[in-house]
Amino acid sequence: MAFAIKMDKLTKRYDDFVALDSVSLEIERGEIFGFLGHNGAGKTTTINILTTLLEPTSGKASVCGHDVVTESMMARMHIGYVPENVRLYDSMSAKDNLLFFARLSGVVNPLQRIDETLTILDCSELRDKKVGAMSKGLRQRIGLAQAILHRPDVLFLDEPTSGLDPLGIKTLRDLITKLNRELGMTIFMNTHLISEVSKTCTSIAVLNHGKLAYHDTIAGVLARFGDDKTLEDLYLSLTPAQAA
Amino acid sequence: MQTQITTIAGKEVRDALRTHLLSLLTGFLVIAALVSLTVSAIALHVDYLTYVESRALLISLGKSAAELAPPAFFPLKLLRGFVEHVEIIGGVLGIVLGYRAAAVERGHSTLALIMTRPLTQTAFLSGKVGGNMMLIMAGLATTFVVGAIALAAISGLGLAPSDLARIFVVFTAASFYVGIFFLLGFILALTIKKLPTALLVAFAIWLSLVLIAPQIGDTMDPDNQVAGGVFHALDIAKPQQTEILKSFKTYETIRDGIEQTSPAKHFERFSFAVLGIKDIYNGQPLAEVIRDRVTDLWWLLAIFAALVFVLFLRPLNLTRLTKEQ
Amino acid sequence: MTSRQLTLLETTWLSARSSIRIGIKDNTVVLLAGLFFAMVLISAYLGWSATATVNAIYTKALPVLQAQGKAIPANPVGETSPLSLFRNMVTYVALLGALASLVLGHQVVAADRKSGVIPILFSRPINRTGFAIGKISAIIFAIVGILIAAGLVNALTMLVLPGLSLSGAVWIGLIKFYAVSGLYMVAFGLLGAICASTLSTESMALLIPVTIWLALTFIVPQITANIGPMAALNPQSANLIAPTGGFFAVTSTLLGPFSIAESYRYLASSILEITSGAGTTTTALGSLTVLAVANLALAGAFIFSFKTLDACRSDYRD
Repeated sequence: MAFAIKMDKLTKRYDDFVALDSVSLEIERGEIFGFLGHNGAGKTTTINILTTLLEPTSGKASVCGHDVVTESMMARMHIGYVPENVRLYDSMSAKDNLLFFARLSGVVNPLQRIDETLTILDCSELRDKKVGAMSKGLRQRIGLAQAILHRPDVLFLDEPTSGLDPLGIKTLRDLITKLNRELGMTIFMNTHLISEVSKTCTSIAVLNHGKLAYHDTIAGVLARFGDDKTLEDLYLSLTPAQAA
Repeated sequence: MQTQITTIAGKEVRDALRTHLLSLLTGFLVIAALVSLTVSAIALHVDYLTYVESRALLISLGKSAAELAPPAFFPLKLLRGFVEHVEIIGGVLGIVLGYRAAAVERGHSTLALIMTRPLTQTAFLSGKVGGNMMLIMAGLATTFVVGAIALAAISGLGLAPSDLARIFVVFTAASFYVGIFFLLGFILALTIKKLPTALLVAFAIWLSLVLIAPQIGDTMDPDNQVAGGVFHALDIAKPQQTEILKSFKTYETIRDGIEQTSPAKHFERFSFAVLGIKDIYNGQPLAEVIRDRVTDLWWLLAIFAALVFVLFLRPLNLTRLTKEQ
Repeated sequence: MTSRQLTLLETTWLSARSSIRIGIKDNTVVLLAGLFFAMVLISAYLGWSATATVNAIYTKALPVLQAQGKAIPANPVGETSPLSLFRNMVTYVALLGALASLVLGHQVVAADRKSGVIPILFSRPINRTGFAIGKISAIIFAIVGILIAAGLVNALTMLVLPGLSLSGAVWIGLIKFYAVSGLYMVAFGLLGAICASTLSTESMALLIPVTIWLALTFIVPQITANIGPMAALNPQSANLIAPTGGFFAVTSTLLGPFSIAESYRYLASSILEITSGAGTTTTALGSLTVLAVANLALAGAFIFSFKTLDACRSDYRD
C-alpha cells in the first residue's frame, strides 16, 4: 500500500535562498506525524508543497500515491488542510461556511455530514453562530471541521495550537487523537511546541534550516536517547543555532 | 510637548516618503496637470490656426476680416483644467493621506503603544495633522511649480511677479482644500471599525461633494441643458437674460445652495477668479478679486476649522480602534 | 475518502453563489449602491425640472423676441425624447455606478483573501477557471440586479410624469441604455477584481483601480477631445465638437480604443437622444466594440490573475 506521504529529495529555492534542501521522508498511513523546526525552518513551505499550493524546485512528493505536481487534482481529493490562523468568512455562520466547503468537495448530503462533523468535534452548539463572533479556539475547531467534512485520508495542520490557551491546546490534542483513532486519518502536523508533539504524535521529524535533521518514531526517539533525556533535549541538540 | 509633536510629525513625513501612495498620487496629479496644460495650449493653438485660415479666406474673397475676433491669449487661463484636476485628484490625495495616517497605527496596533506613553491626545493628533499638512503642501507645491514652469515654457512669455502671486494664492487655497479631505479621511479612519469601510465612506463623501453636488448645480443651470447655452440658442441679449432670470430666483437660490455645500465649488470659484479664468475677473487687481471672493475662502477655512474641531474634541476610543478581525 | 472533483458548471455555480452572498452583505457595496439609487431617483426629477425650466424660459423669452421683431426659434427642448429626462444617469453611471462596481469586484476577491480561505480553496480539487468564472458571474449578476431595479424606478417615473409620449421605441431605448450601462459597469467590476487578486495590499487594491477610473473619466477625454474634467460630467459634453487638428486626430485614434468612458458616454447619450453625434468621429458600433472588447479582455485578465494567485501569500499585507 502506498505511503500516506512520501517526499523524495524535495527542494525549494527562492533565488539564492534554499527553503527546503533535499528532504526525503516517508510517512505511513495512520500515523500522527509531528513536523518540528524553528521559525523559518521550512515547515510551512513543506506543507504548502504537500497541499499542492506550491511547486517544488526539484524532487518529488506524493500524497496517497498521487504526485502533488503531476496529479495535483487527485492528490487534493485525499487531503484536508487547516492553515495557520484560519479565519473563514466572518459574516457567515459556521453552518454556512461548512456548507460552502462541503459542496466544494462534492460531499453528498452536506447538511447531515456537517452535523456529524460538528458532533465529532464537540461543537454542535456553534452551528448557527457567526464565525466572526467566535473566539480563536472555537474558530480553530470550525477550521478543523471544514478540513474533515469530506473525510480525507490525510489531514494537514499548520501550527494548529498557535494562539490557543492551555485548555484549547488540550481540547485540540484530544480531537486530533480522536480523528486518527476513529476516522483513521493520517495527521501531518507542523508545530514548534515540543510538549504537544510528545503527547500526540507517533512519529516526528525535525527540520533545521531547510534540512531534515532527524526522523523517527517517538518510541525510537526515547529508545535512542534514553529515559533521562527529553524530547526538548533532542530538539535543542539538533538545532544548535536556534538554541544560541 | 513640542518635541513630541515634531517627533510624530517627522515620523509621518518619513513613513509617507517610504511608501508608494504619496508618490503615486502626487505623480498622477502632476501628470494630469501637465496633460491639461499641454492640451489646453494645443487647443488654443488650433483655435489660432483656425482664425488665421478663416481670416485668410475672407481676405482672399475680398471681404473684411475686421469682425473676426482673434482668440485671446491669457496664460493663466490655460490653468483651468489644472485647477479642476487639483479639485478632483487633490481631494483623493487628501483622503488617502488621512486614511494612511490612521491605518498605519491601527494596522500595527501601535496606537495603544503610543497612547500609553506620557503623550496627550492633542499632541499626538497635532503631530499627525502637522506632518501630513507638510506632505500635502509639498505635493501641491511640486504640482504648482511644475505647472508654472510648464506654463511659462508653453506660453513662451514667462510669468510676471503678479502671475506668480496669483498662483501662490491658489496654492494656499488648494492646501486648505486638500487639507479638508485629509481631515475627513483621518477622522473616518479613526472612527469606523473596519478600515476599508472608512476609506470607501470617505470616497463616497468625496464623490458627493466634489463631483455630484457641483454636477447637480450644473444640471439645474438651464444654460447647460442646451448645447451652446439656452440664451445663445434663443438669441437673447444679456440685459434681457437678466430680466428673464429674475423670475427664477427661488430655483436659482436652491441651485446655488446645492453648489455652496461643495468645498470643491468654492475652491474652483475662488481659483478661477484669482487666475482670471472667469472673464469678469480677468485683468482685475488681485486684492480686489480676493475681496470679492472672500466668502469662498471663508467657506474653505470654516470647513477646515470645523473638521479640526471635530478631530481634536472627540476622544480616541482605543479599544474600538483595532484592525478588523 | 468522499471527496470528488466538481464539474466546471458546479464549481462556477458554487463560486457565484458564495461571491454574491459576500458582495451583497458588504456594507460598502450597499452604501455605494444606495447612493446610486438615490441619484437614480433624483436624476429623473433633475431632468424634468431642467427641461421644465428651459420651457419656462422659452415661454418668457417669446414676448421679448416678438417685441424685438426677431424670428421665433423652435423650443430647444421641444422635440426631445422622454428618454432625455434621464440624461444625468449617464453621469451617475459613470461616477457612482462605476465606483460601486469597482468596489463590488474588489470585495468578491478581497473577502476570500482577507478571510484566509484561499489556501483552503486551492487545496481542494476545484477547477480554478470555473471558480473565477463564478466570481465574474457574481459581479454581472449583482450589477444586472442593481440596474434592473434602477430601470424599474425610471420606468415608473416615466409613467407618473405628465405629458410624456411613451412609445415602444422609448421603452426599447431605456432597455438599451441599461444594457450599455451594464457593459460599462461590469468592466469596472472586473478591474476591481483584477486588482484585488494581483496586488499585495488592500489599500493599493482599492486605490489603483480608482486611479485608473479617474484617468479614464477625466484625463483621457481631455487628451482625445479637449473635454475638461468638470465638463466631462455634463452629459451635454457628448455634443461638444472635438477640435480638429493633427494632435487630437492622433490622440483620439491611439487612445480611442481604450477610452471606455468616452465610448460609454457617446453610446448612452445617443440612446437617450441627447446627442446628434455631429462633429464626432465616434460611431455606435465602434463604441460598442470598445466596450465589448474591454469586457472580454478584462474577464480574461481576471481569470488569469485569479488562477495565478499565490495561495501561500494570499493574505493582504495591510
